[in-house]
Amino acid sequence: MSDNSKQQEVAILKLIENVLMGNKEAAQKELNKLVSDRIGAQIRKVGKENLI
Amino acid sequence: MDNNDTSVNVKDLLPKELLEAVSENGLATLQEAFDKLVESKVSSQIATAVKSAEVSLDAALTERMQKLVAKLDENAKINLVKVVNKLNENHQAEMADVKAKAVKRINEMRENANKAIATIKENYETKTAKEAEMFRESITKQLGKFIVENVDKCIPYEQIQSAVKNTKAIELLESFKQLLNFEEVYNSEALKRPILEAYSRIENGKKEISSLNEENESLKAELAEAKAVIAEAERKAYLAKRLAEIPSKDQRMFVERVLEKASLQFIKENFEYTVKQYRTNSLKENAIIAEKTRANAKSQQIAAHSRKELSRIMTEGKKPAIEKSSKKPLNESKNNWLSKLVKDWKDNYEE
Repeated sequence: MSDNSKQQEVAILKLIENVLMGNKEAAQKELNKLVSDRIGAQIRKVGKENLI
Repeated sequence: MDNNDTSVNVKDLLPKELLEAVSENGLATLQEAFDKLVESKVSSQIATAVKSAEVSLDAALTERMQKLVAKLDENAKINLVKVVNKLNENHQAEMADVKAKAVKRINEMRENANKAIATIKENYETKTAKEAEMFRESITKQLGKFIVENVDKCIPYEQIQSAVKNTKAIELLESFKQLLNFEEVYNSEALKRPILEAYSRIENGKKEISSLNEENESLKAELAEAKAVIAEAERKAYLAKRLAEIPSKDQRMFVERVLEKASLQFIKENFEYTVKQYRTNSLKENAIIAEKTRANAKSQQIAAHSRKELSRIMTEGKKPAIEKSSKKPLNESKNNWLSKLVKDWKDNYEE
C-alpha cells in the first residue's frame, strides 16, 4: 500500500470516528481534507501528463 | 285433562246475573284467560320454591363436603408425614450419596460450563476482532472508493486538461508569434536593407578583428624579440662594464668565459663569486702546470733515453724486446698525466 493510500485510509477512519462521535466540525474538516487531497492528486496527474 | 280436573270453572265463580249477560264465547275467553293466569302464577311459585330448596341443599352439602375434605386432608397429611418420615429414614444415606454426587456433578458441570464460556468468549472476541478488522477495512475501502469516485466525478478533469492544454497552446502560440514577427521584420523591405547592412558590417568587423589579432600576434612576437635583444645588449653591457673592473686579463677571460651565456640576473648575483673562484682555480692551475712541467721534463728524458736505446737495439738487432720494454713506461706515464689532468679539471669544474 502506498503512502497516499495509507494517508487516505487514516483520514477515512478519522472521518468515521468523528461521524460516530458526533463531531460534526472535525468530520467536515476530514472530509474537506480528503476531497482536497483527491483534487490535488488529480491536478498533479494532469500536470504530469502535460509537462512541457 | 288433569288440569281440567283440578282447574276451577269460571262459571262457578261468576254471579248468575253476570253469567246471563255474558255469551258462551265470552265465557270461554274468560275461562281461557283465567287458566293462563293461574298457570303462570303456579309456575312462578314452583320455580321460587325449587330455587330456595336448591340453595338450602347446596349450603348444607357444601358444609358437609368441607368438613369431609378437612377431615380427609388431616388424615392424608398425617399419613403423608408418616410416609415421608419413613422414606426419609430409609433413604437418608442414599440421599446423602446422591446429594454428594449431584454436588460433584454440578461442580463438574460448572467447571465445564466456565471453560466453555471462556472458550466461547475467546472465540467470540477473536471473531469479533477479526470481523471488526474486516469491517474496518471493507468500510475504509468502500468509503475510499466512494469518495474517489464521487470526487472524481465532481472534479472537472476534462476542463483541467483543456486548461493545461490551453496554456501549452498559448506558449506555442507565443513562440510562433515571435517567429512570425521575426519573419515579418525580415521580409519587410524597409527593414531588410538595414539588417543586411548591419550583417555585412558585423561580418566585416569580424574579419577586421581577425586581421588585427594576427597583426597583434606578430607585433607581440616582434616586441618579444626586441625585448630579448635589449636584454642581451643590457647583459653584454653590464658584463663588459664589470669585466672592465677586473685588472687581470686571464681573470677577465676566465670570468667572461664562465658568464658568457648567463642571464643578467645570474651575472649580477654570481659575478663576485666567479671572480673569487678564478683565484682559487689559478692556484690549483699553477700547481697543475708545475706538475705538468715536471712530467714533460721527465718524458723528454725518457724519450732521449729511449732514442738512445732504440739506436743501440737497432744496431744490435733486438728491436721487439726494446719496443716492449721502452714503450710501455712512456705510455703509462703519459696516460697517468692525462688522467690526472682530466681529474683535476673535473674537480675544478664541479667546484
